[in-house]
Amino acid sequence: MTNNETMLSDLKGIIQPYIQNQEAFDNLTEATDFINDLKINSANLVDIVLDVEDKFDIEIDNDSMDRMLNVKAALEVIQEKLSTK
Amino acid sequence: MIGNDIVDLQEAASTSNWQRRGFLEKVFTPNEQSMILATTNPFQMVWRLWSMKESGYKFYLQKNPNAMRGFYPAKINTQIICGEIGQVSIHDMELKTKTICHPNYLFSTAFEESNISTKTNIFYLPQRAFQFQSNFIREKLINYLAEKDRLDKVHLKVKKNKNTAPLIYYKSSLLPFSCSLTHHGNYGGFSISKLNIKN
Repeated sequence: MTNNETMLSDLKGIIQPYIQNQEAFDNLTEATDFINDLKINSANLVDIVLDVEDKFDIEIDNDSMDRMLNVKAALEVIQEKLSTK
Repeated sequence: MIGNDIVDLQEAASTSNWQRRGFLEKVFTPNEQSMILATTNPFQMVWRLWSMKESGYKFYLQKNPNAMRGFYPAKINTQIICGEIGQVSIHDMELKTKTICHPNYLFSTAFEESNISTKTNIFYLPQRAFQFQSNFIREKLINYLAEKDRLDKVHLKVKKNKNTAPLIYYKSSLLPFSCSLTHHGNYGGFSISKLNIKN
């Protein structure tokens, strides 16, 4: 797997426990929205952000967290934070 | 305009851990963090303030349907005024909130001070599936309106716009209500208020 594929598969592993729409998860793309598509409760978004921090050993500031509403944005934030580590 | 949010306390206890490292800093302002740590029941305070923030955010999106969505709980300021009444500041907006503290859930509603005539219904949701819960709450809302205004419920429809604020139609006319739907764990509810003409 390439780095990007590993990153996506790690992210999917993190969000899976919180999803409430399995079909949208099975058909996940970069455009998939955590709340509108996966029906993740907003109270669990912060858990996802914290899980991402732990998994990738990065720190996500609140301005970056602000936009982490979909797969594409989450991957971008992870990449940005990894590149400035 | 109206925004609401429910927290099922048992669900919150089992799916989130407010004590994990970074949680408080990501969700709360420094003032809110101090307030949480100073209370005898920080768990309750965490979720009360959370539901106030979330109800304020939903109000904001309803008022500004073209606003960018975002996840910025720590930029939404909350304050408890007295008892169940609180205040939320989001962007340039100041809202009042009311939080019902039930042993099983917390339910917050955000509204403008000039419009406090809000009807709220809260119910136990017997099933967990998202679609079931969403349909169940809409049906409760439709039944409520049908009964209150003696409308034929076959013609009542709840639709959502792109920022997910629900709109209520009778036949093809938009009814002059603001409403907000919420569910979490095994509880859900709706809040509805009559729109002021100036809105």
